[in-house]
Amino acid sequence: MVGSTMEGLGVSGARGEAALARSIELGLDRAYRIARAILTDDLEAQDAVQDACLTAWRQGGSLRQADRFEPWFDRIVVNGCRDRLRRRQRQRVRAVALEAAWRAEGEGTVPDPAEQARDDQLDRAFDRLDPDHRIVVLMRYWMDLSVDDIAARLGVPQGTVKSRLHYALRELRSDLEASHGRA
Amino acid sequence: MDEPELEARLRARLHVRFDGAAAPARLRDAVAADLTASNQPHGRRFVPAGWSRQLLAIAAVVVAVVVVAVTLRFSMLPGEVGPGGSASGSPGPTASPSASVAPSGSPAPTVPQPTVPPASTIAWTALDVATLSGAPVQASAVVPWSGGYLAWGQATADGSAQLWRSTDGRSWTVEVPTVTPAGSSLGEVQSGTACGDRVILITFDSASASDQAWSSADGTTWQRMSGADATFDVAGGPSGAIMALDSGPKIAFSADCTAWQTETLPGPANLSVGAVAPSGSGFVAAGYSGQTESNDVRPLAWWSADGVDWNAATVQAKPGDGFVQLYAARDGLIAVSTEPGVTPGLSSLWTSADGRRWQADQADPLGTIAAGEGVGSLASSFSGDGTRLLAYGTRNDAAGPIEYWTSFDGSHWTQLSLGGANASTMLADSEARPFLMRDGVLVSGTSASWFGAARAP
Repeated sequence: MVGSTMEGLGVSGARGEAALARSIELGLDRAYRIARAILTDDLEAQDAVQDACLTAWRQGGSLRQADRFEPWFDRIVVNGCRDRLRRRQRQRVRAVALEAAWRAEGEGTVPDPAEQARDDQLDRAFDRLDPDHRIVVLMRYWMDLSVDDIAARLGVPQGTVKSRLHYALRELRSDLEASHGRA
Repeated sequence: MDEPELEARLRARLHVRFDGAAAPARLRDAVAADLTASNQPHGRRFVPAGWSRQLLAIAAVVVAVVVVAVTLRFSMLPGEVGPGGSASGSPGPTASPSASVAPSGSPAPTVPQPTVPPASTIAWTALDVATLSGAPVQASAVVPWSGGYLAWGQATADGSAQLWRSTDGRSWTVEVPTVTPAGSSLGEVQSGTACGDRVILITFDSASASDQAWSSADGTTWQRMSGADATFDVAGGPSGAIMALDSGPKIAFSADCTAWQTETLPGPANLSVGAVAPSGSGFVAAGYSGQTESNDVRPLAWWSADGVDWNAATVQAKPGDGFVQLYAARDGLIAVSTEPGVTPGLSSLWTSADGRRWQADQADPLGTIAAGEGVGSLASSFSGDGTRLLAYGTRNDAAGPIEYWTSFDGSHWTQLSLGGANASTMLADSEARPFLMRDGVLVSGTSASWFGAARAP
């Protein structure tokens, strides 16, 4: 899954900077997976992670608990991706690169057409979710985070997290039912 | 498609789509260059070293990928629209996902009696730490009830939190809960409270992504409360209990935890409740108006002397902040606000003597409420049991060990010294979470638990 390998940070001075750089380096795979999942675009995910790394580097002094690097960095990545998603919605830019990668991964196999159609419907329903809803769905059902952890990462009350999850699932279900009706 | 099936399919599909990807070498190189450039004497400026050279190569790859993608897309799924597309519009956090607790007229006049001896009101100065055996690990909630405690922690195979019971907070036994309706599970326990001779839990069900309220008279057999599925926080006090309902939002009050009546909080239409707590013989609630991740958020609070009649509290103006946490003690309350969505989070500590007037406070015991990461120390810095407050975390300006502080009013804090043979192992578990007990602190870690017995001067 998302996975991570973290070491404790130092806190200040050259050692602290070296430790922060090391943590960023170790967190790159996780950050890239998160950004890729939110943005569903490989290249934009790379840009988002690069921006997030620089933000983390500049703001590292505000990270008080070394072992909190992962949720802190997650939050920076997620916020950056959310901003990009919102801009993308305004610009109506469609991402196709990642879709191509998924298709390529499936080459050589012969999927059940009905199963493939169901997967496609679910993928499209997920991709149509509002950015905030998409993010909490990923954090809950892909990253397996608790409501408390999601709230901490997003800086919102637990009630907001749960409300977003509730509405996101309702939208997914409604979208799937509509797709089924059209089929 | 039923809820568990949708959850299972969603989980499986997300793993298929998003697992396993590693950061490309190009990204690693770019980040390394950024950090190296930022170490140069003239500051931390973003210098994307090598970017221009890479840009041409990347552009060529992008064009190729897009061509392949479009070709594949059209050949496999003619006429289909790609990902991205239009937003569905967020209904916001305050709309009602389901029915609220049914109004029931005036609450029953019976006032429940406390079932747990009151917490010690003697000032604590130290904790003597001892490792516990068989005690709750990864605890998410501990509820004083029926002369002892119930605790929920590490998830079981069906996703429910495991249940422990104790009379003194030191010796614990695992219980196997029975739930009604059959086939359901308690899910992820969020909060709970005693209410007379009953105990109420608020849990989060992953399959339906909704809160559920449960009630029990014996701590083992749990009955799901119908009509309370939009509940997200609960607080118990001398006069009964309140539940914060997502619809409205409203507050449901019951004196006996059997008959409930709902009240709408006064204020603008777009308000949200972040948390509720007991205060004296009444209750308080705290939240915000506006949408999170926007600049129109305003902190709001309410108070009620009886759980039924609710009044807007006077809150110091601080645009951009919203209350997200609330804790009560004998002589005052604290609330934590945050600027939602800001990176890194900027948070404030607020205090109130009675819940009727709130002001941002500088009496931050650890320096943890300030510009910072906005997670971790913020999310788990405080707890309160109605008698005292507990603050824990590392200091703002050092990476020293986790500190523990207590207060009766939120403005005057005393640091607890930590002793005992197991204090160092407890402090080494940075994910451990403390829970206030009547004569000390239960610290539930990731794989072990400790009890810090309180010492007075």
